[in-house]
Amino acid sequence: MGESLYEGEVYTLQFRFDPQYPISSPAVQFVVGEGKESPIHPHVYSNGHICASILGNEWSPVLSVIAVCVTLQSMLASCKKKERPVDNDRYVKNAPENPKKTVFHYDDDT
Amino acid sequence: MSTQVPTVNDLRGATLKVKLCYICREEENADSPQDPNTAPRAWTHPCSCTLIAHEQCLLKWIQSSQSNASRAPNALKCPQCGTQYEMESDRPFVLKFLSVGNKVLQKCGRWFTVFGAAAAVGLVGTTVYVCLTGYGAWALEKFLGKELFDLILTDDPTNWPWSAYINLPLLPISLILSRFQTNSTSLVIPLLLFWPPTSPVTGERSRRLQEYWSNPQNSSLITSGFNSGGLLGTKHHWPPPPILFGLVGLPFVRAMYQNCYAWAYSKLLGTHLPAPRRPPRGGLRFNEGPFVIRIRANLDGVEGGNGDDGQGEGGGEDGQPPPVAAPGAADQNAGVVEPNPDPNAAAVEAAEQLIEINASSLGRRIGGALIIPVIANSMGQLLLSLSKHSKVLRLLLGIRQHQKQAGSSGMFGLPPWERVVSSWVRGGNKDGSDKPWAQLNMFQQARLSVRLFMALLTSSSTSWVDNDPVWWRNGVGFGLFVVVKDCIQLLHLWLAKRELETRRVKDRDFKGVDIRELDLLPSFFQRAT
Repeated sequence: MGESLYEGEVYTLQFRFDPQYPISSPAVQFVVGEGKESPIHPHVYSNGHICASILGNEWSPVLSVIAVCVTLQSMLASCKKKERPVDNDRYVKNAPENPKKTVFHYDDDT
Repeated sequence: MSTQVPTVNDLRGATLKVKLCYICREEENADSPQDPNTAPRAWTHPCSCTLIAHEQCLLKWIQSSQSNASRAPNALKCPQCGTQYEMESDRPFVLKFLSVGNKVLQKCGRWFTVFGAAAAVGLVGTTVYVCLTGYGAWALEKFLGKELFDLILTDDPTNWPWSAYINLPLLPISLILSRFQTNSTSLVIPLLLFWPPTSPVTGERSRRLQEYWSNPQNSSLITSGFNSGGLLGTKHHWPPPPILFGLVGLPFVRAMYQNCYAWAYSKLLGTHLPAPRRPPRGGLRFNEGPFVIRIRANLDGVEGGNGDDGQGEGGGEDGQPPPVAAPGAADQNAGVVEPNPDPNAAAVEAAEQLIEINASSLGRRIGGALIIPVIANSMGQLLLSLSKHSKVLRLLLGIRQHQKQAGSSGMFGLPPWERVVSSWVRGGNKDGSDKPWAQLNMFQQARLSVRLFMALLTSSSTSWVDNDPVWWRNGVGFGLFVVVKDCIQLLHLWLAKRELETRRVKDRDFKGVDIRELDLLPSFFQRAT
């Protein structure tokens, strides 16, 4: 990451495409484990799941993998304070393996 | 050439000289030869930017988007430029009709849900209301007697004045409430008293009454009758008019009864009636109803109403001083709030706890409240049958046998209220002309008003006076009931207290115990030898 709270940090994204892609969105999350961590961000859970509308109901086939990456990058870059989502612990405890099975509520645009 | 606008079919490639489907990302180059095995796929350019797509891909995307409620709003929008896609399709009339029909049904379904819920609530509410009203009417009939009831209400709800629909349901509610709030002014008061002065409903009987008094010959009777004091004045002195009794008689009687009660209480139980029990005399105004209701409400002998002889009866029965009732609510207050230093009072409290005088359950209270009309009615019946053997009782209860034949003969009962008033208006004019109220001068109006008020106060209304005073004997009967009940309760209290006082623990000897273990007085051994 460049100039941001996350300057110099490196994260890895995992994309999983199901047979309905590109009609359905890919399952995108940060890789956690084996020395990798998810960024500390209000929309990123400690298990790597990302709460981003473009991965849910605002998904569009026009979004390429690059576009998704750029969007997530800008999500991190616009962050003003490093913190976990308020319900992180509760969510991580019950979260499904695949983030697409989670019904997120998208509260804001950041 | 410049006027010609290119279409998607003119493109060799939108960008980088290839056609790229923005959905499936397949590229097609017009320059490269087509794969002969695959049919060429149709392309579409649905918006105003450079995105293009396979038509099938786009349709699939739109369809999948529309099937998801949260994505549906954006299904027909270009993700890049936001242009609304326009769809063309073969939509026969039947399909449109069916879709519209489906939507309408959907909406109806939703409304049905809402209305269904509302109807359920309404139904329950209505049922409760109907039950309350029915009870109110029934209670009123029990208390006032069939005859008067038929005159002012009748069995047919269509005849009821609008106020009945408010007053009747309030009756059971206030009866029940009166059991829980000892010092509230009962709602029933205005109810029972103010009904009759309103014009009688258009029942069969009152219609005949109207017709009878509409006859000019008869209506002149009203005036002369009134002036001579025959009709409204002297004829029925007893029982007292309800309003007058409620205003003056009842508080008086009640105060007397309470004094008697306090006296008897202290005589019998050896301690003073705990003070805080007495609720403020709230229900002074128009008290026929509370007279019935409040009695029960306070559980102490408000009644006595009728009094003195009634108390005598009740008291004589068990050889106690006459009046007196067992004031449950009051004792409770006293007992709980401040421990009484007087040992006698403490004993009474203990006795009260023993017989659980205050432990009446909810059901007992509500049931007791709702059964009041029956008690009043049966006591009234009892008094009626007793009165056949006693002239004094007959007089006291104001029982009028002749009312039975009233319908056929000239004894038609008194004219309806408005008739009397109008006749007074006429009488108020010296020339006897039938001037309406508005044309009278101020003095005449004032005089008439006073007259009306006085008449209301002393005779209440025609319907109260001209009928067999069932309300009176029921009220008296209920008063007696309360007195007897109070006496029994007090007797119970007294007996319980005495039982407590005479309690002893039974003494036993040391049979079976080794004598050597006991340190005994020398006198024991002297006796033993």
